[in-house]
Amino acid sequence: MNQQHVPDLKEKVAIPSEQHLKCSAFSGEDIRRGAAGKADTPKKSFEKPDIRKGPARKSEKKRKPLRLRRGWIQAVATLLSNIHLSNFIKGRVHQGPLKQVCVPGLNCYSCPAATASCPVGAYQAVAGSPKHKFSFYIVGLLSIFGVFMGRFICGFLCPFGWLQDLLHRIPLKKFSTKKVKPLRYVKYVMLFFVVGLMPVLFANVVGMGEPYFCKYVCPQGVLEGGIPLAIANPSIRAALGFLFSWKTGILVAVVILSILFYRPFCKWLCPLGAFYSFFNRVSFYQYQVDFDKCIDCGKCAKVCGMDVDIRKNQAHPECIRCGECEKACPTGAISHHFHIFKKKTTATSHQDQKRTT
Amino acid sequence: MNTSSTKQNASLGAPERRSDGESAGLRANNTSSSAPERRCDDKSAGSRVENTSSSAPKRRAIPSWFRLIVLVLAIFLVLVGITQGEVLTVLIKATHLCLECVGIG
Repeated sequence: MNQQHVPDLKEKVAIPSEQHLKCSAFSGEDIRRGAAGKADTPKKSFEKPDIRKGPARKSEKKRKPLRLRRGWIQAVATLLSNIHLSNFIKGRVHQGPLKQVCVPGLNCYSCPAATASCPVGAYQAVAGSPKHKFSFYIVGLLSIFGVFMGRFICGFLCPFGWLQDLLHRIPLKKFSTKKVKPLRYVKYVMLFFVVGLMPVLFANVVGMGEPYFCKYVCPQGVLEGGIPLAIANPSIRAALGFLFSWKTGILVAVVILSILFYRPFCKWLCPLGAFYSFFNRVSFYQYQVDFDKCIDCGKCAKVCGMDVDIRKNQAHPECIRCGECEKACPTGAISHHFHIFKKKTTATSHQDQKRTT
Repeated sequence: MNTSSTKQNASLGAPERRSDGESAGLRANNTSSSAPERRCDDKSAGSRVENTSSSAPKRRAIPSWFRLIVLVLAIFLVLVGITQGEVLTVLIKATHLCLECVGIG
């Protein structure tokens, strides 16, 4: 009986009609491949259909460039944030009018090559000045970035995020951060207390507050500013002391942790990531899960370095929109979109949709 | 016999159960034949979602007008900051070496 069935299938596979291509449960590519010369082994394609080559193929093709070129986009963003490379040799900070605005990612303005300002440093500079206690300008600029992209900035545009991504590629044993999830709230303390309040509360007699985050925590300042300037400029090298050692220690710790864990600084310490996390829900750039296509395989949650299950929440504050879940999804159920005027579907979580059915 | 017949059913777009990974995968590929049904499901699902009970914690989508309001508010904040002279503070700080940032203190 079996032997009678198989030849019928062979015939269908060998000569595919348009109707068959449209109605078949298998992808057109599988059938075309059979017709092209593997018609004698059609059984293989029927037994294990490649679900990655399903109807999602078309949309996958469209999305492929962005997520595959993430590393390149990060590299270009880092280069654009630090375009004045010749200043590394000169050993002095660039002084241009573009420094009035800030870049969206964490990039120290004391880096000799820096194109624009660091948002965290700029905020603290304004909040710590005697004239102002709150920076409307920086909050407004960051809100504009956040409304457009949310934490896409962390995933694609932040130079320090790129560094952590590169470090994490070093082939050593990797550890999960799922058990230390409460540590993610430390970054909100950094944002509200260290960046927002400390320059105001601990001001000196003249009313000037120090940039406490930049001074005691931020490893980017040492990496981009301190080390290159110390190499190029002997007078700066002579002035280095305990604070430099402390910050270098933090930088070394972050580097080691980045090799072992995925983006520890972004998860636990970055005030900028904390700020953008509030915009993940309101940003024009959004992720979406088609629950009709979702087969609940859990691959998206498994590959996520930020410990996010996109099926539960597509606008999770920790999601950096890196697109790994989209890449891992075997059915193409996960997609991203950038809409300014289009409304989203009402249900945003898998649980919500399940409850309703 | 059973397996071959189910495979044939699958190739013809017959409904199948999602009990195993293979059938789930087939279901994922099978769009053209069951697409109208899905569209119908989507509509009904959408209407049902709106009628969820109050006990279920639901996440409402952010309407586009809200996003635009946030954007307008952000632009307004920037303008307020500019009028207060914050830009100059930022420029002065950014064009000089930040001793705290680089670790000199």
